[in-house]
Amino acid sequence: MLKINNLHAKVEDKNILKGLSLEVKPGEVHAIMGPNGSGKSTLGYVLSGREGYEATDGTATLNDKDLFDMEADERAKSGLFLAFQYPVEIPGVSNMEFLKASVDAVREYQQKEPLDAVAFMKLAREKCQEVNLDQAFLKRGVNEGFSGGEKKRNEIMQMMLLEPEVCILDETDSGLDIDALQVVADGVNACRDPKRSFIIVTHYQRLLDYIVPDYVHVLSDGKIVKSGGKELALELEEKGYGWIDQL
Amino acid sequence: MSDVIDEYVKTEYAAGFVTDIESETLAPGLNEDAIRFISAKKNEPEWLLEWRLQAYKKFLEMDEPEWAHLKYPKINLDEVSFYSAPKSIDDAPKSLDEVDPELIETYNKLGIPLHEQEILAGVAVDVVFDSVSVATTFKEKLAEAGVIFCPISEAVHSHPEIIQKYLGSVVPQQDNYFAALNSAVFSDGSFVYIPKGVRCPMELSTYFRINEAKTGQFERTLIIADEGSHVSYLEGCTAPMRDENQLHAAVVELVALGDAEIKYSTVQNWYPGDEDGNGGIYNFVTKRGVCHTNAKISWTQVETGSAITWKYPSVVLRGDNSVGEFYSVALTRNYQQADTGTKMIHLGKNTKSTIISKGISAGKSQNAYRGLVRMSPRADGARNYTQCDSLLIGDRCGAHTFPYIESKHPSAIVEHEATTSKVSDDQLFLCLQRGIDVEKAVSMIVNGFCKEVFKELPMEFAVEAGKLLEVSLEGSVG
Amino acid sequence: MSFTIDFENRDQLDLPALVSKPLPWLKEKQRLAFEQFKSAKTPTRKIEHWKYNDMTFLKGQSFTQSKRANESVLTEVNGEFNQITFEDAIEIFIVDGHIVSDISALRSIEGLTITNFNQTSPAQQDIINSHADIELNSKNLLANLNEATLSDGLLIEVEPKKVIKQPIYIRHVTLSSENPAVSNQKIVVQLAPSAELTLVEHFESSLDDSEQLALQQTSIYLAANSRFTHYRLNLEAETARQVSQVKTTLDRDAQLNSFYLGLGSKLNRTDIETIHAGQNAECNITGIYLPANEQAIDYHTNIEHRVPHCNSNEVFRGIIADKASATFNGKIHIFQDAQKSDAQLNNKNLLLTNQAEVNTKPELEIYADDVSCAHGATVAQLDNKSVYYLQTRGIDKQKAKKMLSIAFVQELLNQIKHESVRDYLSHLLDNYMVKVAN
Repeated sequence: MLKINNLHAKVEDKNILKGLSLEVKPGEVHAIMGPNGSGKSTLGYVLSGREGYEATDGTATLNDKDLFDMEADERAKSGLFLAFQYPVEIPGVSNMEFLKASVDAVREYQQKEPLDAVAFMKLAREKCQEVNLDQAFLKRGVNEGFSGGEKKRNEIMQMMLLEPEVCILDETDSGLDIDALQVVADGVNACRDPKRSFIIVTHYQRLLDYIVPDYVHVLSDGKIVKSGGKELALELEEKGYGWIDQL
Repeated sequence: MSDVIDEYVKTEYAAGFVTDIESETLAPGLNEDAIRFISAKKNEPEWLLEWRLQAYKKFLEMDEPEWAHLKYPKINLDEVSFYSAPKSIDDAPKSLDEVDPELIETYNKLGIPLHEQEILAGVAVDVVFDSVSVATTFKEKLAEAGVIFCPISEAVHSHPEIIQKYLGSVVPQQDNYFAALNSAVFSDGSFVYIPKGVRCPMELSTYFRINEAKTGQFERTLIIADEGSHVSYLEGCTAPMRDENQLHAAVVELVALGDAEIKYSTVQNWYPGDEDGNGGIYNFVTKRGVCHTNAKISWTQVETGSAITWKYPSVVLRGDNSVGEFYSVALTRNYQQADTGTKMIHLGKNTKSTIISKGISAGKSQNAYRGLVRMSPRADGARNYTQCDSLLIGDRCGAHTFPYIESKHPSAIVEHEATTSKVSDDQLFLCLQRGIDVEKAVSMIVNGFCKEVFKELPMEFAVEAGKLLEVSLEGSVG
Repeated sequence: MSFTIDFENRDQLDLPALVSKPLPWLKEKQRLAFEQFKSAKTPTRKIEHWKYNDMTFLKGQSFTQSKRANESVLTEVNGEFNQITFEDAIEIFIVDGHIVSDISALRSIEGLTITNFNQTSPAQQDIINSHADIELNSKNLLANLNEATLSDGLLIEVEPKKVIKQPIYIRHVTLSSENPAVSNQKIVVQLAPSAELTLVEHFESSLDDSEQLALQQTSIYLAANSRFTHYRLNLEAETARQVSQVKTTLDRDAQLNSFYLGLGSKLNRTDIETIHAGQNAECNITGIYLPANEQAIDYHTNIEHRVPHCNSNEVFRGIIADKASATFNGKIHIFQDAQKSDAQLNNKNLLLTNQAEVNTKPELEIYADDVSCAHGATVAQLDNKSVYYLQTRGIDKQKAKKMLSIAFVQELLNQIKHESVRDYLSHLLDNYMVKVAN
């Protein structure tokens, strides 16, 4: 499904990723952990095509299609979803309008019939409920004036609506209290599917108590330095990131 | 509380004495003969006389500008003398020892010691008294680094090729009424050339002083920073207290070639006139710099003097990636009027400019910021950030903001913000309640207000500027 | 009732010769306005007031006064233009400055009086005279020309404590003319204490209006505690030339909510003067300009705080496409005695191409110290991060940019309270976006 091979990437002339390789098969949940500055967020941005994040070497393919050949929106339509660490506020664009445009674009790409307004409203309301967001949020500007927790739940709701194949969750746990974390994790777990895979990028082991990964990778200085099962996360928690330098 | 503050703003002008020196002064009035006289006095080459006469012709066709937020009677040029020089240095002093001792005394009074051994370490000084440069210090040391720092009248003879190339290249003769006037009658001023790749080993500084009555001062400064060079330059100005208004119309031209950097700081303390608005200098100055590729020009000004200030130090960002900065503190009190600001003309790609302007108005003064930010159709990725803050002290003064923003490029970003505030009774009360007296409190608040600009000044002068502000504010708190 | 004017030789003009059927009670004001008109400098780019306007068409040209169109033409044009659909509005039709609706036939509403200038009582004439502010127009010779040669106009009055629910909908239409012509016209609105009124002014023109110069002024007085909502939509054809003024004076506790929308044309200049003359008055002024092709738009606004404790809030946003140009000049003027004034002004611009141009000048002129005044202006392109965020959700770049551009002005449209106007403008905005995106 998603294959990353020897990926090098730079941001503003600074090399951040230095040969990262990772293969994610359908249905798998991979956790990527690492200290601050190890390149965790860069991975999500490079894969999803953010301007200024440039892959300088290596490849990344989604279902054998070269990601770097596509515009950011084409990547999204092909099934790649990034849940932002800091979701962007867009005053003036209502959440509903935004979600509809997004779902329409993805469905059109998949050559599915567009949803009519009524069906879409119904769907959006359902998803709102699932992530415990008040329906009033649909009428407000995208993320405008949302609390940290509300923004993250809004991201998960978008994920549910778009039904992507690969989901990258970028530090989704940052700034969340336990209750909000539970809601977000429930949302993610509800989306787990034999055909859908997840990359969970996080600094803390905490989130992995709620979303149990199949594999854990440790990222350091732009490379995966150690991989293992979910117990690796616990080990990391116990010994701290200093431990990986001794590996 | 207002009364206390009122008291505080009324301070005497400390630099207001007259120096009793025998001077040679041209009879008042402007005509071709006066221009020929000035040129002859300076033994100028023919081309420069022609250049002056050409400027005079253009000047005759121009009108005095009226768009500024200033009220003053029309300047009668027939009453102004366009040349005055201390007589005893007619033959030009060869060294400081030959300078009239009374002159040296004048500068000592002003706190500008001319004797090299006494001079602030690392600062070379050029002194312009009325219309003539009277002393330049540290010449030899600068020469070792290849830096030329001398009166422009001297440079006309010693480096005619540079002068001919650059004079009027940044501020053309017909740029505006006062620039045309200056081009016709300019007397003296400083000339600086920094060769390729040289970092000027010390701060350069010029002090200007108007002494003679009924004279105008029309100095002209030209600074060329060749590729990759760096220079920091500071000018200071004072004048005696006189009842009539005196005209000062200077031109400053800066050229920063590729990768060069010029930092130009001004502490302007011309005589502002008395408490009732009598006398004071009319300060009409044109200052502009051109930045070539990757070059940077930074203007920092602290303006506390002059009855009228009309001044817009500007940067033409011609080369790609060049940077322009303008940091300004303008303080007006009594009946002073200031209309000052900057122009940032973005021509090249990825050019950047920053404008920070702090206006403080007290008494019955009027203080206006006037600025222009222009993004040309070629200015891809250009950026400007402007912040204009006004502080009002008392309810009889005015604070105004006139920013012009003209953009013709979709990827250029311009941001402008302006605020107005006052020294509030609450703030003062808090200070008083904590045991801080009114003067200290106001100066603290004002200094805090100006902090962003002061930090741009060279160290020694930042302290001086802070003090100057404090002195100027004394008694003006209302 | 027609005149001929040559702007370059206007100092030789004689007023009585120009206006054949003058309103005798307006004569003195008109004479003063005419003096100003004659002595004012001819507009060129060198004059600050006209710095960003192309006024070269005045040079060497003679203008006649626009004639009243005949009945058959009127019936035709009435259907031609795309008007706002109201359930209950009082509609007035003005063509080339001439009021063509039969005012006396308008259904009567308690507390509201609408009178043609030539049918006014002496008391009403005093009101109209009090609205002729010659000094205010001293810099604007076209405003003075309008005042000096007026022969047609409307007085709208609302009685104390009357709340008029039905909006007044005035359609100003400019038709084609074979020769260079000037149309002139004035609306005076007088709200008594605690009265309320909504006025919608809608400007349109035919496609071949290029020989016309439309002059217009709306002057409003809001007595204590009254509320006035004003929509002014300049939707002329691209060839149009219009120069107009809106002046509102607010007495104590009065409230003004106004909304401007302009698409621009060859010359499209509106000067908006708002004067706080009584304490605790409040104004909220919102504007959107969307010039495209080679159109130009110019809003000059001036808010005067003459007395203490008044509030002003002004927001203008513009999108400039193609080779269009926009000028915004927003001034806040706080008088010496106007302590505790609160005035905020914000102007944001979006340039869509590198041939588009914007000139913005937010000004503050402040003579009182205990005030809260701020202004901000930006010129920028769309935020890259927002475009990217939309792209990661599958929306293509062009669509993303379009959504964000609409959002940029939609925020202001959302604040419009009157549903018919809001719907009409939302639709207009959609059409505009389709046009600009292609």
